[in-house]
Amino acid sequence: MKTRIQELRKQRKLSQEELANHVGVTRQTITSLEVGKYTASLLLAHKIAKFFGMTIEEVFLFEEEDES
Amino acid sequence: MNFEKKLKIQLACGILWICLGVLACVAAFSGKVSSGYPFTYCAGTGGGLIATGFIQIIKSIRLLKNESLRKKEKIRLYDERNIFIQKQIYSLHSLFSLVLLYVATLWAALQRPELLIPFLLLMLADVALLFLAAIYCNIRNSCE
Repeated sequence: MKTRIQELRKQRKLSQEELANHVGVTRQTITSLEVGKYTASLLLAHKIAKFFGMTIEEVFLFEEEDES
Repeated sequence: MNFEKKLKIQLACGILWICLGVLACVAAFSGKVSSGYPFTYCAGTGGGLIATGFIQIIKSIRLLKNESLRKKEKIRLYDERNIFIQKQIYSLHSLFSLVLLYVATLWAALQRPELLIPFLLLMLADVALLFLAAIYCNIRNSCE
């Protein structure tokens, strides 16, 4: 799944470690989310979206092919 | 239960493992168990328990003393991606253990031909377990 996490994080001049600490996950999880290797749970997606002050749909770009 | 309480329980468990390990080693080396398999079993289990206990105690004390380290460890333990990977490894580990058990049973049967039939029955049970584990993993993976 594509996400805007990296873009939003860089806009706010945050490191992966800082974002990870804010949402309560490891830096590796943020890396995996940014490169699309891992799909966040609803709870984590909500936490990240809330941290950026956006909705889940604005941060996580859901595509039809993700369904398969 | 909070994380600090969990660490304190881990510390107590570490002490318990050491006590049990010492008991097993005392039983093994005092000559109360016969030599051969029971001795190896007691000495090996005892040694393992003592080592596990020490590692657990050192880890718990280190985390209880250092708050930043404790915070990092808590995040690492409850990180959802780590939990996901852990679950996958557990499935693989179970399958791998069963395969090892299968090979060990086969090897034992070759060493003691008089026990061939019981061993063969055990192997069949192993195969049944392997199939069940494979079906379980397949169903679980298809649901994820």
